Order: sequence, then C-alpha cells, then structure tokens
Amino acid sequence: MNEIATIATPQAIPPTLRQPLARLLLSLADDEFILGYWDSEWTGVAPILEEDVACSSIAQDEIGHARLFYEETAAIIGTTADQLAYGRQPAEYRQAQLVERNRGNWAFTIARQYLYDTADNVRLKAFKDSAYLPLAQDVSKIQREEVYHLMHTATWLDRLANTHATNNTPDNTAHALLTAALESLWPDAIGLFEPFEDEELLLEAGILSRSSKQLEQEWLESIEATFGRARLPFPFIEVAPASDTIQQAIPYVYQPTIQPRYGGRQGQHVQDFMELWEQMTMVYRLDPQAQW
Amino acid sequence: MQQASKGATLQDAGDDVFEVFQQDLKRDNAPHHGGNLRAPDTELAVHYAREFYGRRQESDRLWIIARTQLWEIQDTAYPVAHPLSEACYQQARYQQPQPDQTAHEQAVIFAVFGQQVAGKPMEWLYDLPAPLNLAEATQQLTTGRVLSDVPYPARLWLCPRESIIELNNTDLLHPPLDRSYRRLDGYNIRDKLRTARQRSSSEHNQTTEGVEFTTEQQRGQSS
Amino acid sequence: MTETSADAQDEARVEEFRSYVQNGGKVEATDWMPVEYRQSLIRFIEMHANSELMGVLPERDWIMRAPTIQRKLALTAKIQDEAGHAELLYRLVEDLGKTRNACLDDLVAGKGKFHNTFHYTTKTWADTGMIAWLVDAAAIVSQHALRDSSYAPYARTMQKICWEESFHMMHGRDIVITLMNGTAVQRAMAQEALDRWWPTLMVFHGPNTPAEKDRDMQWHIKAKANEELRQEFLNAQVPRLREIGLIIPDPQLRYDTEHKRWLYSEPDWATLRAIAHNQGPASEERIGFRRMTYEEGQWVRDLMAYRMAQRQQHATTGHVPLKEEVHG
Repeated sequence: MNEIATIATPQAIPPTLRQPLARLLLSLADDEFILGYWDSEWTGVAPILEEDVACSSIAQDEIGHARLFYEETAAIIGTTADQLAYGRQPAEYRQAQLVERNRGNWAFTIARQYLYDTADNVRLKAFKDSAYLPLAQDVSKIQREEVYHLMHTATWLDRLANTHATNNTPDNTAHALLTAALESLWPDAIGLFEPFEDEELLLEAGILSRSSKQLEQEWLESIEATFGRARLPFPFIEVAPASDTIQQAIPYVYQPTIQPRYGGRQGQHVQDFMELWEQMTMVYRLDPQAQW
Repeated sequence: MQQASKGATLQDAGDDVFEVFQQDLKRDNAPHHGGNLRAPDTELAVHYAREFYGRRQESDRLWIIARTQLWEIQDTAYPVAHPLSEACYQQARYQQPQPDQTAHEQAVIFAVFGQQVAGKPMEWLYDLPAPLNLAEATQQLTTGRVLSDVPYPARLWLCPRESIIELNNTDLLHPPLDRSYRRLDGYNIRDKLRTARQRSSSEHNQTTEGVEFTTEQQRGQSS
Repeated sequence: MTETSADAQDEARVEEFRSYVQNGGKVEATDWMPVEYRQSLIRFIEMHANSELMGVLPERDWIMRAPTIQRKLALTAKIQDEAGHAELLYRLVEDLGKTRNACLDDLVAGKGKFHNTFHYTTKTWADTGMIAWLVDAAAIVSQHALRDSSYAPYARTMQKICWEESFHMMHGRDIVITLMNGTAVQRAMAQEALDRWWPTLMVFHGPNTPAEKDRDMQWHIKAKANEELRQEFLNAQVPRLREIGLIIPDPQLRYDTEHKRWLYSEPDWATLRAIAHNQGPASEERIGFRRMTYEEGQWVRDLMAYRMAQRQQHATTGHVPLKEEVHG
C-alpha cells in the first residue's frame, strides 16, 4: 500500500483532488446547515419550554458546524462561507434528503435526530484520521460538541420508545408515533451514506478512510441493539457478505428490505427543500452584493 | 391517567423541581444558587441545567439537587421540607414544622447552604463533618446559630451530600467552537458607527450632537 | 390560586410588610407575604413571562430568512434567550402559586395578558434589527429598574436576564447600522421599519401613572414610574438613532433643556387599551398560532405526566402497577 501523504493546507491540495474534496465538504456543510434550520424551527413552539432552549442550542451547534465546513470549502475554491450557504441554486446543494424534510411532530424530530446523530458519529470518527489536516482538526472539535447531541437524542428516543403497554396509554401513543416516524424516515436515512462518484479518489488519497458502504454498515451495527430493545422498525436483514476483501472483517452485511431514497448528494431534493430555499435565500437575493 | 383539569396541581405537568447551583472557578469561592427548573427526571434535569446555567460557558460546575431532597431552616429548632415542595406547594408559605418528622432517619453527610446577605443567592457553606440524621443535623446547626458570636445566615438549606448531582464535563460546559455571536465582545461596531455618522452628518450638514432640531428641519435638508 | 380568607390577615402585619418593602426590605419565596402582594406579583410576573414567550413569535420567521450565517446564529441565540427567560419567569409564578399550565391555558384562551409590542407584525429584515435594538433597549430599561424589586427571586432573575440580554441590543444595532451603511434600498428599509415601530415603542412603558396610584410601586415590586423609564429610554436611544441618519417619525419630539425632559406627541392610549384586551393587529393570529402549537405538543406533556405518576405509584406501593390500573 502506498504511503499516504498528509495535506496540511488548502494550497497543498493536489489539483485533481480540489473539486472532489470541496464537494465532500459541501455535503457535510449542507447536511448540518439544513438540519440546523429545521431544529431551530422548534424555537418558541416546542412541547416543553425547556426543550425549546435545548433544541435551539443543538440547532446553533449544527449551524456552527456548517459554518466551519463552509469556511473550509471556501478556502479551497476561493469564495466566502455566506456565498456558499446562500448563493447556490437548489440543485447545487448536496445534503441528504433526510435532513431536508419539514420538522414534523416531536416524534419525527427525535427519530430523525437519532438517525442523523448516530450516523454522523460514525462518519466523524472516520474523518479524525483524514489525510487532509484541516478537516481532521475541525472534526475533533466538532465531536466534542456532538457528545451533548447524542446524549440528548438518545435520552429522548428512550423516553418515547419505552413502553410495555398494549392498550391506549400515553406511552403507547408515543411509541406508535415514533414507529410511524421511523417508517417514513428509514428510506431517507440510508441516503446519508449514498455512495458518491469521487469516493475512490478520496479513499486513495487518505482523505476518506472508509467508503460510504463501510460507514453505513458500521452505523447500522451500532444502532441495531437499541432498535431491537425498543421494538422499533429496523428494516434490514443480515446476509452473508460477498466474497470481497473489504467485507471479510465482519460475519454479515445488513441489507435493506426497503427501497432507499437516494439523490441528495447529486443535487436532487424534495419539495420541502425548494420551499425552504426560497425563504432562506429571500433576503440575501434582494442584493447578493450587499452587506447585511 | 386522565388529562388533568386545567390549572389544577403540580402533578399535571409531571415534573419535579430541581435547584441549580453554579460556580465559575475563576470568580466564585463556592457554588451559589442560580435558580431552579422543572424536569421529568434527573437525567433531563442535568441536560436542562446545562442549558439554563451553562450555555454561555458561565459555569465550570453545576450542582443539581431535587427540591424533595432539600430542607430549609428558618429560625426554628426543626427543619421543614422545603416549603415549596409537595404538600406545602399550594400555600407556598412558611408552615409550622413537625417535630416528629420522620424523613431521613438514617445518618448521612449533609451539605449546608446559607444566605449570607439579604437578597443575595444561597451559597454552599460547608458539609457537616459527621454522618447525622436530619433531626441531629438541625440541632447542630440551630445550636451553632444560637451560640455563634458572628452573624449567622438567616436562612439555611440542608441536603444529603449524596443527593447532589454534579456536572463538570468540559465538553458540555465549555464546548470548543466559536460562540462570540452571542456575546457582547463578539460585536465591534466602532468603525461602522464612524462611517454611519460621517455619512449622516455630511448628508444633513448639521452637528450630530444637536438636541433641539425638529423632524421638519431634518426632512427639509435631506437629499 | 384561591384567596385564603380563612386566615385573618392581620392588618397591622400587612402594614408592617408594606413599610418593610418600601424601605428596601427583601422577600423570599418561602417568606410570609400578604395575599394582595402575592397576587400582584403573580399578575406582574405572569405578564412578563407571557411577553417573553409571545415575543418569540414575531421574530422567529426571520431565523429562516437571515441573510448571513452570523445573523442566523445571533437571531437564534436571541430568541432562545427569550424562551429561556419565559421559562425562568413561569417558574417564579409557579412558586407563588399558579402553575405554568394554568398560565399557558389562559394565554391560548386569549385571557392571558402580554406586552403590547408583541401584538404587532414584522414585515422586513429591518424589523429584526429595530426590534432587537429598540424593543430590547426599552425592555432593558425596565429590567434594570426591576433588579431592585422587593421580591428577591424576581430581582435575581432580572440580573440574570439583563446579563443574558446584553448582546441583544448590540446585535440589533449592528444590523441597523449595517443597513444604514448599505444601499439606498437598505437605508429606506431601515427608515420604514422605524416609522412602523416608533408608535409602539412610545407606549412600551405604559401610561404616565402617578406613583401613588401604581399598586406595583406601592409594594416595591417595581421601583421606578413608567414615565421615568420612558425618559431613560429616549435619553439613550434618540441620539443614537439620529446620529446614523434615521428620522424619528414624531414631529413633536424634542428635548426641553429647561425641564430636562423629552417632549413628544401624545401616544395612542386607546389602541393600547384595546391591546390590553388582546385586540391588537396580530393578537388573534398570534394567540391562535400559540394555541395550535400548544395542542400539538400535548401528547408529549401527557407522556411525561404519565411516567411521573407511574414512578410515584411505584415508590409508594412498592410494586410496578399494571398499566390498566394507572390509566383511567
């Protein structure tokens, strides 16, 4: 195996890797930015006032993480974070469709947050060893902030899911709402690890240390037990791996029993996002050259 | 459980009240009372304490104490369950203490808090050195009050040391990324203000310290 | 909170209490207090809490539309603070004897009072700047004065709130100054927003009620009269608005150097009275929105209450109850 050279600054990035790396960073940024927006939608209207404040902190963290990734991308392609966040057409955004759905009810928000935070946890761990040093450094800071997010989401998933009731009790209602939310979210969630065209290049360069497929499998393995205990939908079956060097480390592979909804990483987005984009960029578009 | 009727009791919100003490190690010698909050259980109480008393990185540690574990002593030989918890809640008024109160028969180490100055928050004073039951702890404190030569706090709180939940996780209380957007020092308007003043005074050709010009005059002179 | 007429309230004790608070005496939540004092506090603080909560509504739409990442973060943090302040204030009201659910039920039924300012709509990005600067400046003047309140838990909460809000006004002013330094369109946007918000700011501190008639001043719940607060607000903000080229839309506004006070057009007190009965321009829509979101979240609160009841039952009876026993 070739020695992987670390890349210490934006200027040091080999030309063939500039666009692929920028696209990768944009997808990380867009995921956080759009999810952060929907989390902030609970401000003032959360079911419990204390949660209002907690959700808002999580939203601010996410927008802050997005800002960091936008700044990294801007440093590579020569623009500003704000121009990236606000100045693109909808088809140029690269978030997974999971994060662009409307916030829904509380169960939907918690379900989505849980799926996203656990996936992001696996993704971030993989970037800690990235050959692109600015990314590795950013990620180690971001992970420390994500500790609180994971704590909070897991706590709420547990509260909503923890029921032994068979009849019409409040905790049975909660479990049912959570189940319904997960059923609608799973196809999108798989889209978080939609394989993308530059993967091979970035893997070779050590910027990525694991492929999308590998990350997906690690993620599913990390959450299977929780879903089992809580009797929540986990639409996967375990199959023997293909005779493939990468897969031989684990005894089985999770295969979805549902159709994943891909497309986000290619710029295909749902109606909720089109409406959000209109609103989000409305003031900016009044005059993109102006200072606000 | 039926949906509770409107405006009824404490129970309809399904919460407990937790008192929160905070300490900034650079400025405070001891944790002082920050306020209180409601939470359905201790785990969420810790999350919320971080939000309400730590989201601006103003604390290095937080103490979270369920109000049911606190007793208040006010110039009496007997402790009262914090008058704002449970049955006392509706009255929220000082009640005659019950000398045969059976809570806390077992001996524990008690933490003692006091209000040193009227109007100021309660502050942690010390832990009683030996395990005592509640009656004994109260006795010790009220005897101390009576015999003390120095001014003694007018109000005391006790709680078992083991009931204090401490949060001191740096990732939660001092997360690493930039949060200057929510602090005064994250804003610097000096240069912008100078630009705005200059433009305004050159447009209106009058001193910006004037006090008695009317809006008609302003409108007449604007371009 | 029911009046406990059963207790013969010793008139002498009430008088003693009144003179105690007027001389700067402090009252804690667990102290004895006259029924009227308690009720005045509940009314005063509940309105403050409702105002913080309703204040969120005009502004939250703009989080989505904030034109830079910095502004989006700052606005989210500001609104978060307001929700947090509502929580702190409802907590105070609960410890005085009225539950948060009762307050919120009143609010969504249109019976709860909240500050006039939040009965108005926002129209442009410039509104965000004007509200954060001027509404918060007006609120800060009141809140600073309340740090001297006789009710110590409220006074301490005001200190915390004042500290947390210190960046709000700066953030608002930054937005407005940036607009004034921008294009002609941006400057016009700022001026237009000021034109719309000025009248509501002039009534923010309430009518010029003499101190002797103001019950809340009698109990030293608040320590400064309405007109005094308004004058403080004008003193601080009028020069700051004018120096960046904004025109205050009141032809009568001027400073009387002889009497050292601001003179201004008589505000529209009739509108203020209508608003006090929740008949302002956006009142119904706001209350309706608040009611809808409140009801949508009821299942979550029910769940927490249910779990609490189960835990308590478990604690007292020593066995885990069957769900059928606990329910219904």
